Amino acid sequence: MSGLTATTVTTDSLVGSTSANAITVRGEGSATTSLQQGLAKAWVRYVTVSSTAINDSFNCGSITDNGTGGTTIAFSNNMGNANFSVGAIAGQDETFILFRSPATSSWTQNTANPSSATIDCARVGGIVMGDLA
Amino acid sequence: MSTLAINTISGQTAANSVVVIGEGGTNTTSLQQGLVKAWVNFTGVTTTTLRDSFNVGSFTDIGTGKTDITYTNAMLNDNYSGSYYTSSSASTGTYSFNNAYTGVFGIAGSNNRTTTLIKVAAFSTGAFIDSVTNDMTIVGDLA
Repeated sequence: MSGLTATTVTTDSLVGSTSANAITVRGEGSATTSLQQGLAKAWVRYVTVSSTAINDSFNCGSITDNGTGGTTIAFSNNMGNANFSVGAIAGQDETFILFRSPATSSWTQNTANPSSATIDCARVGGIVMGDLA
Repeated sequence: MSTLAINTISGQTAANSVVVIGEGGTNTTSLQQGLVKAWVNFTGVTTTTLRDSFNVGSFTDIGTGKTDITYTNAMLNDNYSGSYYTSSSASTGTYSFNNAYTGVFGIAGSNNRTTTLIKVAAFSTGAFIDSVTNDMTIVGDLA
């Protein structure tokens, strides 16, 4: 266990001292949590109306239009496995959203209206939690 | 580029408060509050099984489509937030909008959200269903 006491630490990169991929963070109370596991590994906001495009994102390298309401988002840095957890929201006219085809390099989201018809959407979001490769 | 090698991060003034400068370079954010405190990917089909998770200690099938998820390290209070997605389908294809699907935090008549566990339920066309894809994320205050 390393010890450093400072009010402000300026650094460009954090790695674990004992194990490069394991840093513990004191939580809001007295318990601790994992920095690596607590960080979202990717997030995206995109539009599929007219043309499919990313509005803003983190760790998302490209986006593919699979047809009406269907979008595949590719990671810039891949995940370690396909068992990641995804949260998403589609922000237009009671739009529903489906996940499918999780892979280490990408995942797919589809949007539809309450009548189960696939539709393009002005605002779609997604966030990925899991293990980075 | 400088690199800090460290095992544990805690605040100096207050152990539970570390500030990080945000992407814009001006505003700051909280390291603790920005971390997800639990996440899980599981299947409810045949045998309710974790595929992968963080801060999930036990996992109990309490009926068709209904699951108790217990935290390894408890939350500070039950006012936390999160998301739960279910495909509401036992099919591995999971690509259908015809399930009238929805997933909810909580089960009627139960203590749905406590510091130690959360109950989730998957529905399809008005009935509970064991679903092949279930993703949950929890954010809030760790105990």
